[in-house]
Amino acid sequence: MENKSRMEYERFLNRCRRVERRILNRYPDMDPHDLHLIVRNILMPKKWGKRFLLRKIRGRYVP
Amino acid sequence: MSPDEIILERVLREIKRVGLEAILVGNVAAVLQGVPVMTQDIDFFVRDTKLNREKIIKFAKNLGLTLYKRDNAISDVISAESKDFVIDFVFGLAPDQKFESVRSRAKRIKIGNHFCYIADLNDILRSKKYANRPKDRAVIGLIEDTIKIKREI
Repeated sequence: MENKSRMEYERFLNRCRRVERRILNRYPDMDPHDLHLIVRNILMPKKWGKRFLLRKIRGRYVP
Repeated sequence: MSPDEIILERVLREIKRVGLEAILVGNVAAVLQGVPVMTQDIDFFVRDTKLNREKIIKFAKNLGLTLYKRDNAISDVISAESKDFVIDFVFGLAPDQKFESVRSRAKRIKIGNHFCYIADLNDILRSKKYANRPKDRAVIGLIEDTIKIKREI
Protein backbone atom coordinates (compact mmCIF):
# COMPACT_ATOMS: atom_id res chain seq x y z
CA MET A 1 0.00 0.00 0.00
CA GLU A 2 2.83 2.35 0.98
CA ASN A 3 4.66 1.46 -2.24
CA LYS A 4 1.56 2.19 -4.31
CA SER A 5 1.12 5.55 -2.64
CA ARG A 6 4.78 6.39 -3.25
CA MET A 7 4.51 5.45 -6.93
CA GLU A 8 1.40 7.61 -7.23
CA TYR A 9 3.33 10.52 -5.72
CA GLU A 10 6.30 9.96 -8.05
CA ARG A 11 3.98 10.01 -11.07
CA PHE A 12 2.54 13.26 -9.74
CA LEU A 13 6.04 14.72 -9.31
CA ASN A 14 6.97 13.75 -12.88
CA ARG A 15 3.93 15.61 -14.11
CA CYS A 16 4.93 18.65 -12.01
CA ARG A 17 8.47 18.46 -13.43
CA ARG A 18 7.19 18.51 -17.05
CA VAL A 19 4.97 21.53 -16.36
CA GLU A 20 7.75 23.35 -14.47
CA ARG A 21 10.22 22.91 -17.35
CA ARG A 22 7.72 24.37 -19.80
CA ILE A 23 6.89 27.34 -17.56
CA LEU A 24 10.48 28.08 -16.59
CA ASN A 25 11.28 28.55 -20.28
CA ARG A 26 8.68 31.29 -20.41
CA TYR A 27 9.51 32.85 -17.02
CA PRO A 28 13.26 32.32 -16.56
CA ASP A 29 13.39 34.84 -13.68
CA MET A 30 10.92 32.90 -11.56
CA ASP A 31 12.45 31.18 -8.55
CA PRO A 32 12.45 27.44 -9.40
CA HIS A 33 11.55 26.43 -5.85
CA ASP A 34 8.59 28.83 -5.68
CA LEU A 35 7.57 27.57 -9.12
CA HIS A 36 7.65 23.98 -7.89
CA LEU A 37 5.54 24.78 -4.81
CA ILE A 38 2.97 26.67 -6.88
CA VAL A 39 2.72 23.99 -9.59
CA ARG A 40 2.53 21.30 -6.91
CA ASN A 41 -0.31 23.12 -5.15
CA ILE A 42 -2.24 23.69 -8.37
CA LEU A 43 -1.88 20.14 -9.69
CA MET A 44 -2.31 18.32 -6.38
CA PRO A 45 -5.40 16.06 -6.46
CA LYS A 46 -8.19 17.45 -4.30
CA LYS A 47 -8.55 14.16 -2.44
CA TRP A 48 -5.06 14.60 -0.92
CA GLY A 49 -6.30 17.67 0.95
CA LYS A 50 -4.58 20.99 1.53
CA ARG A 51 -2.84 22.19 4.70
CA PHE A 52 -2.93 25.89 5.42
CA LEU A 53 -3.14 26.51 9.18
CA LEU A 54 -0.14 27.04 11.40
CA ARG A 55 -0.37 26.24 15.09
CA LYS A 56 1.96 27.46 17.81
CA ILE A 57 3.24 24.45 19.71
CA ARG A 58 5.92 24.87 22.39
CA GLY A 59 6.85 28.28 20.95
CA ARG A 60 7.13 27.10 17.35
CA TYR A 61 4.77 27.51 14.43
CA VAL A 62 3.98 24.14 12.84
CA PRO A 63 1.47 23.03 10.17
CA MET B 1 -9.80 16.01 3.66
CA SER B 2 -6.89 17.47 5.61
CA PRO B 3 -7.35 18.43 9.29
CA ASP B 4 -7.39 22.09 8.19
CA GLU B 5 -10.15 21.43 5.66
CA ILE B 6 -12.15 19.68 8.38
CA ILE B 7 -11.90 22.86 10.51
CA LEU B 8 -12.88 24.98 7.49
CA GLU B 9 -15.87 22.74 6.77
CA ARG B 10 -17.02 23.06 10.38
CA VAL B 11 -16.77 26.85 10.10
CA LEU B 12 -18.65 26.89 6.78
CA ARG B 13 -21.41 24.73 8.25
CA GLU B 14 -21.90 27.21 11.08
CA ILE B 15 -21.76 30.22 8.75
CA LYS B 16 -24.53 28.61 6.71
CA ARG B 17 -26.53 27.78 9.85
CA VAL B 18 -26.59 31.41 11.00
CA GLY B 19 -27.34 32.59 7.44
CA LEU B 20 -24.26 34.78 7.06
CA GLU B 21 -23.27 35.65 3.49
CA ALA B 22 -19.48 35.53 3.46
CA ILE B 23 -16.63 35.30 0.94
CA LEU B 24 -13.45 33.45 1.86
CA VAL B 25 -10.51 35.86 1.36
CA GLY B 26 -6.92 36.17 2.60
CA ASN B 27 -4.28 33.49 2.70
CA VAL B 28 -6.65 30.53 3.05
CA ALA B 29 -8.43 31.58 -0.15
CA ALA B 30 -4.98 32.00 -1.74
CA VAL B 31 -3.78 28.55 -0.65
CA LEU B 32 -6.91 26.87 -2.00
CA GLN B 33 -6.02 28.37 -5.41
CA GLY B 34 -2.41 27.21 -5.37
CA VAL B 35 -0.43 29.93 -3.57
CA PRO B 36 2.22 28.28 -1.35
CA VAL B 37 1.61 30.06 1.97
CA MET B 38 0.46 29.14 5.46
CA THR B 39 -1.56 31.21 7.89
CA GLN B 40 -2.92 31.33 11.41
CA ASP B 41 -6.38 32.65 10.65
CA ILE B 42 -9.29 32.14 8.27
CA ASP B 43 -10.59 35.42 6.81
CA PHE B 44 -14.11 36.08 5.57
CA PHE B 45 -15.35 39.23 3.85
CA VAL B 46 -18.88 40.21 4.93
CA ARG B 47 -21.16 43.23 4.47
CA ASP B 48 -21.08 45.63 7.39
CA THR B 49 -24.68 45.51 8.62
CA LYS B 50 -26.21 45.33 12.09
CA LEU B 51 -27.81 42.00 11.17
CA ASN B 52 -24.48 40.53 10.03
CA ARG B 53 -22.83 41.62 13.29
CA GLU B 54 -25.62 39.83 15.17
CA LYS B 55 -25.07 36.73 13.02
CA ILE B 56 -21.33 36.82 13.81
CA ILE B 57 -22.14 36.91 17.54
CA LYS B 58 -24.43 33.90 17.08
CA PHE B 59 -21.78 32.12 14.98
CA ALA B 60 -19.16 32.61 17.69
CA LYS B 61 -21.54 31.47 20.42
CA ASN B 62 -22.50 28.30 18.52
CA LEU B 63 -18.84 27.36 17.95
CA GLY B 64 -17.79 28.32 21.48
CA LEU B 65 -15.50 31.09 20.19
CA THR B 66 -14.64 34.37 21.91
CA LEU B 67 -15.17 37.60 20.01
CA TYR B 68 -12.25 40.00 19.87
CA LYS B 69 -12.36 43.49 18.39
CA ARG B 70 -8.97 45.05 17.81
CA ASP B 71 -8.63 48.67 18.95
CA ASN B 72 -6.30 49.76 16.19
CA ALA B 73 -7.44 47.63 13.25
CA ILE B 74 -6.86 49.39 9.92
CA SER B 75 -10.06 48.04 8.48
CA ASP B 76 -13.00 47.02 10.58
CA VAL B 77 -12.35 43.45 11.70
CA ILE B 78 -14.03 41.19 14.24
CA SER B 79 -12.17 38.05 15.27
CA ALA B 80 -13.87 34.96 16.63
CA GLU B 81 -11.25 32.76 18.20
CA SER B 82 -10.37 29.84 20.41
CA LYS B 83 -7.15 28.01 21.27
CA ASP B 84 -7.54 25.97 18.07
CA PHE B 85 -8.25 28.60 15.42
CA VAL B 86 -9.00 32.25 14.62
CA ILE B 87 -11.74 33.40 12.26
CA ASP B 88 -11.56 37.03 11.08
CA PHE B 89 -14.63 38.75 9.67
CA VAL B 90 -13.55 41.78 7.67
CA PHE B 91 -16.02 44.46 6.63
CA GLY B 92 -13.84 46.03 3.97
CA LEU B 93 -10.94 45.23 1.64
CA ALA B 94 -9.57 47.98 -0.64
CA PRO B 95 -11.88 51.01 -1.13
CA ASP B 96 -12.79 49.96 -4.68
CA GLN B 97 -13.63 46.39 -3.64
CA LYS B 98 -17.31 46.34 -2.85
CA PHE B 99 -18.80 43.11 -1.50
CA GLU B 100 -20.99 42.63 -4.58
CA SER B 101 -18.14 43.12 -7.04
CA VAL B 102 -15.81 40.73 -5.17
CA ARG B 103 -18.61 38.15 -5.03
CA SER B 104 -19.34 38.54 -8.75
CA ARG B 105 -15.76 37.45 -9.52
CA ALA B 106 -15.59 34.82 -6.76
CA LYS B 107 -15.65 31.08 -7.42
CA ARG B 108 -17.95 28.65 -5.65
CA ILE B 109 -16.00 25.70 -4.32
CA LYS B 110 -16.90 22.68 -2.24
CA ILE B 111 -15.15 21.86 1.03
CA GLY B 112 -16.43 18.54 2.31
CA ASN B 113 -20.21 18.80 2.10
CA HIS B 114 -20.34 22.59 2.10
CA PHE B 115 -20.00 25.20 -0.62
CA CYS B 116 -18.37 28.57 -0.19
CA TYR B 117 -17.52 31.60 -2.25
CA ILE B 118 -13.78 32.08 -2.58
CA ALA B 119 -12.39 35.44 -3.76
CA ASP B 120 -10.60 35.60 -7.10
CA LEU B 121 -6.79 35.68 -6.77
CA ASN B 122 -6.70 39.13 -8.39
CA ASP B 123 -9.02 40.44 -5.66
CA ILE B 124 -6.84 38.85 -2.96
CA LEU B 125 -3.79 40.46 -4.57
CA ARG B 126 -5.53 43.85 -4.66
CA SER B 127 -6.47 43.61 -0.97
CA LYS B 128 -2.92 42.58 0.00
CA LYS B 129 -1.46 45.53 -1.91
CA TYR B 130 -3.89 47.88 -0.19
CA ALA B 131 -3.23 46.50 3.32
CA ASN B 132 0.53 46.68 2.59
CA ARG B 133 1.68 45.28 5.96
CA PRO B 134 4.96 43.33 6.01
CA LYS B 135 3.03 40.03 6.09
CA ASP B 136 1.00 41.14 3.06
CA ARG B 137 4.08 42.25 1.12
CA ALA B 138 5.66 38.85 1.80
CA VAL B 139 2.99 37.03 -0.22
CA ILE B 140 2.36 39.53 -3.04
CA GLY B 141 5.11 38.07 -5.27
CA LEU B 142 3.85 34.52 -4.71
CA ILE B 143 0.28 35.50 -5.61
CA GLU B 144 1.48 37.28 -8.76
CA ASP B 145 3.53 34.22 -9.77
CA THR B 146 0.58 31.91 -9.11
CA ILE B 147 -1.70 34.03 -11.31
CA LYS B 148 0.86 33.79 -14.15
CA ILE B 149 1.33 30.03 -13.70
CA LYS B 150 -2.41 29.32 -13.57
CA ARG B 151 -2.72 30.96 -16.99
CA GLU B 152 -0.09 28.53 -18.33
CA ILE B 153 -1.55 25.31 -16.93
